[in-house]
Amino acid sequence: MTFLAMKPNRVLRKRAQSIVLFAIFILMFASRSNAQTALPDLSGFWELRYWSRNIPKPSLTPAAASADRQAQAGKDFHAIRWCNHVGVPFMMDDGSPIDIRQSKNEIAITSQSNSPMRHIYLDGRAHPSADTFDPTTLGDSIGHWSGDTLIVDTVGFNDAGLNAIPGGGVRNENSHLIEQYKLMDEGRKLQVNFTWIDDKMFTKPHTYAFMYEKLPSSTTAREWLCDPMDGARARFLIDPPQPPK
Amino acid sequence: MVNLKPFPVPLGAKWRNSIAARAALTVGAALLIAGTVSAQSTHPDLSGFWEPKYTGGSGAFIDVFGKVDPAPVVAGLPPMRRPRGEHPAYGAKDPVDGSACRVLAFPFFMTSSPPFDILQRDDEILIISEREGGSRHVYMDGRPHPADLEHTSNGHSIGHWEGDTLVIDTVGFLGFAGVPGGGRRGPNTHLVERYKKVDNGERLTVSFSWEDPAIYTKPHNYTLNYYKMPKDAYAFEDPCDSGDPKEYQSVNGVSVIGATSVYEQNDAPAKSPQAPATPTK
Repeated sequence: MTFLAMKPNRVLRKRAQSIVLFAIFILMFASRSNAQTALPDLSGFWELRYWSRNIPKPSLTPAAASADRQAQAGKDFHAIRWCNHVGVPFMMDDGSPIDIRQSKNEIAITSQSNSPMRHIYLDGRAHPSADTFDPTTLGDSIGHWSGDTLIVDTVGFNDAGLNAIPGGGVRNENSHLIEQYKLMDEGRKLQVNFTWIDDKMFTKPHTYAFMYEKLPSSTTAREWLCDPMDGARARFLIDPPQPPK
Repeated sequence: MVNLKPFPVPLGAKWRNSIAARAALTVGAALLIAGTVSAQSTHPDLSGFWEPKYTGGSGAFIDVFGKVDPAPVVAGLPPMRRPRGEHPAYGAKDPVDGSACRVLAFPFFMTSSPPFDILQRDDEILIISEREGGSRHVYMDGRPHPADLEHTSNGHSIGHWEGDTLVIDTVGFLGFAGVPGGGRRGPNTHLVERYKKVDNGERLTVSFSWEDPAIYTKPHNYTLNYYKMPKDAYAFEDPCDSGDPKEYQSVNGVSVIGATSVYEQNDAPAKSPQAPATPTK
């Protein structure tokens, strides 16, 4: 083989090597980019089981501990009877699965009790000013990722709807809620830690945890309707229990 | 003059099997795949809050109903609502759906003044209402409508992209409800919507086409506009307590245009309870 015949092959090999290295570099970069943006996807239907709640007893302030339980029971009944929005935290544990849908900028959580969809904004915004935000049963929720854990910060609550906090205490305008969401067991479970901060209600932050289990992907959204003008429903709630007819 | 060709390229099977050719094919394939993935994710992003704009202020529905042609309804279609006070169950206390905090059936929230929020995923799009009536789930994963439909206020929606237009097909509505233009929708109505962003993404046009031979002589078509809200817009909560005597139980006679609950002609309660009750011990 002559020198003249060898030279083109060498050039060809060098170019081929360069192309291969370039391709590997591009693929590595793309893979790294994907890895950086591959956040956990919490989307799905999630339900609590009988063992799914770890709720320690909160340390209530004297005022909270001596609250009028009868008045609270009447308030709760009114909310149920008249289909008021139940709000957080009841919608996270209302006896039916919750539906989480996650996009890049937002997470929506739907419950099957009477509540608007919960919005958790992930776009880096701050809470709106307390001067302009009208307190709600859901509050204003903003979230960010800390590794594979979603941290959700909620303020702007009112005390309407079903406002009892698991363990004790009630949601009100002074409440501040911090939640941590993390997929467990290869995505089959979702642990959510709830921490309520409210110096008028608790002497120290009150933390409890729920462990949701994922329902099959074939689960679809159902529509939940509550009609406050439904006479039969009202009578069921108001009258003493009657033998079923 | 420099010859940029370093050597004559040997075309043919020998070259195709060469390292250079394999590398070129690898890179080409990678670029093709990357291009395909990129094409799949280049659908318009409809995410965010969109609001109608009413020149007459909130509640002035002339910008919606005034611009929709009369629906081509079949002859003899009974009126959507009974005259007030003639409801067989409620009598003179016939409640107004909106003021009674009842679920306001679709498409009311698409014509009501509060904005709606769109949450977009590849496999599902949510259209989230602030009003009573829940939110719409639009399944984008290629599934058909189920054979055993559970009829709901918002119906069952599936969607797909036709270029830069989102096409939503909805069936399975529960009961009857009003539709702009004097139309209505019932359990067998079929709705096709087409969503498209225009004006550099600042405006969302939605064309509605309602079909139901029992209601319309031909498809009832109209287009509504929604405008992009600032990025930091957030959802309001629309509180409603029909058990509050001061607010809601005394407003009988106030009509809410288009706010027809799913119960209007579907399920008439026996009697309207009048006052909030205290719990039994």
